[in-house]
Amino acid sequence: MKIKETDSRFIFLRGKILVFIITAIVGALIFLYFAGKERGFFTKKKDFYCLTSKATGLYVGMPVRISGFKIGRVKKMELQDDGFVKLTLSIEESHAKWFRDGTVALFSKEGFIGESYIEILPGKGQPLKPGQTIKFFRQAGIEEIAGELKEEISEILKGVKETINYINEPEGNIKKSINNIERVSHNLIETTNQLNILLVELNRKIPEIADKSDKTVEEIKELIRLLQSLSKELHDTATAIKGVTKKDMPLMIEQTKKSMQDIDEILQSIKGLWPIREGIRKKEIRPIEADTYEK
Amino acid sequence: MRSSLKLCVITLLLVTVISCYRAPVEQPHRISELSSLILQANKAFERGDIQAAELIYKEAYKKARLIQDDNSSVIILISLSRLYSSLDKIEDASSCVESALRLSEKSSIDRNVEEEIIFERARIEFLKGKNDENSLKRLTKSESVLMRIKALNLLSRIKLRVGEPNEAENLIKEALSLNKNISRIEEANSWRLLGEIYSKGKHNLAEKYLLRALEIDKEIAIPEKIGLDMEMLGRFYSNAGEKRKAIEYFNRTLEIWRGLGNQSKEIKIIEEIKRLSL
Repeated sequence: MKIKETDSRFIFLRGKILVFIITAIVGALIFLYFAGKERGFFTKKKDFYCLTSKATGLYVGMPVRISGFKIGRVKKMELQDDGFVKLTLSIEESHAKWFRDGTVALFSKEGFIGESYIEILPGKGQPLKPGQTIKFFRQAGIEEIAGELKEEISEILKGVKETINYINEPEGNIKKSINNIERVSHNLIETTNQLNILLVELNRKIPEIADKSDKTVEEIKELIRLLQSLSKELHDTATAIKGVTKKDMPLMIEQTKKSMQDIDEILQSIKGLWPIREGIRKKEIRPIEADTYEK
Repeated sequence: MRSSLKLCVITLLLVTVISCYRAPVEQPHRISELSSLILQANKAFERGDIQAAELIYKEAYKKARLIQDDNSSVIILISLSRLYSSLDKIEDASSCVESALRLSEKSSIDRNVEEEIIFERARIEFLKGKNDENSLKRLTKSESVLMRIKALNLLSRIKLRVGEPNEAENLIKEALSLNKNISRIEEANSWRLLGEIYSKGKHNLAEKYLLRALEIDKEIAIPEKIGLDMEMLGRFYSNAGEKRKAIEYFNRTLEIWRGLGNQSKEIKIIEEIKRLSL
């Protein structure tokens, strides 16, 4: 026997529940559709690849941007057999046009400690086909810059310390050479003074030579002997100078050359540091200039 | 049975090829290392250390092939061609150009590098005694003004060689009108060439332009170019019958070639002086 429903609230209850459920499902579907559309689930994508030696700071889902606009995300990260990390960038089809020969991916941060993302710097060559690899560079974060700077500065300080120690070393070439040069200069001044006195004396005696007296001749002979001994002394001094320069100078030049090379290497390293390298204009690689009238 | 065996062998071969092949790895540090090597070689060449430049270019070429950087490989080959041509090794230069051309056909390289290869081929052909007018005519429409100037200058030399001095004169004038502080070397080349064109008739103008080329080359201080200008002036005065001036310029040229150790040119100048002194 069928009981007749008398409460109007329960009339068509099944239908009402069905309509409610359908509305909820349709609502949920519409919500999912718009949410998906917003997130780009329905947009066609194209994959491009990058290779990097270090995956620190990179993660799946990381935004890929061009001029600040999101155009895709990191879809996959794989460690390859050669130790390199292969990144798969999933790019919206409408933005694949920016991927051309010469396109570069740059790992960047918003400010020094902001969100990380991959910035695409478009190239000017032929359009790339999906699946092609682009170059990947990383812009260092604050920790890396600090680390890099610390390393470079300690290198510089080490170099400076070594140079100062080399100059100050009491038995070192520079100190020794300075002492030798001082000694030699002192000897030279002394010998020159003596030579001057003798020359004055000789000058004074010249009028007496005319007398040809034995005494004068003897005195002149004595003067000549003195001159000879002084000349020998000068010769010894000159030999000493020659010895000093022969022995120490090549060493000094070699050491200076080495120090200059070290300084050059340090400068090159500093030039390579971010943010200094950003300020240094990169030289374009070109062949040597051709001459239309060489011969 | 036989066909299935064939299929198996082919499949095995394909699998082996695919598994062995690995795409070259893009390594930024290697790219920057390569760029610095090329710059180093260019500098060595500019300061006249040809032997060092050649060694560095060869090293750079090995690296460029290792990372399969075709653009840099082509740049190195063009530079090597220019280095060899400066040493009179035209055959070596020619083989470098041929290799660069083969590489450029296989890969996409920068437009300016592509133009450099075309120009280099035309230049080497000219040095070998052949005339590649068509390539140079194409380069006279280049986006790069310097390339246009160089193409016009070389084309003018070709025209002069084939006996079309009027055409050569027009091309040189066009090159000079384009060359507003772009390349002093090419400016001097244009004046020298104009002097050469006028030397058969317009004596005063020829002398003026040859001296202007010498003046520019003295300013940029390239001994080889100064030597070339003086030799040209020596020949010009010799043809004009001004023996004293000709000998004077040949003597100065002789000093330069002796200083540079260029024996073949030295012998030539000595012969010229002997001939004029008779």
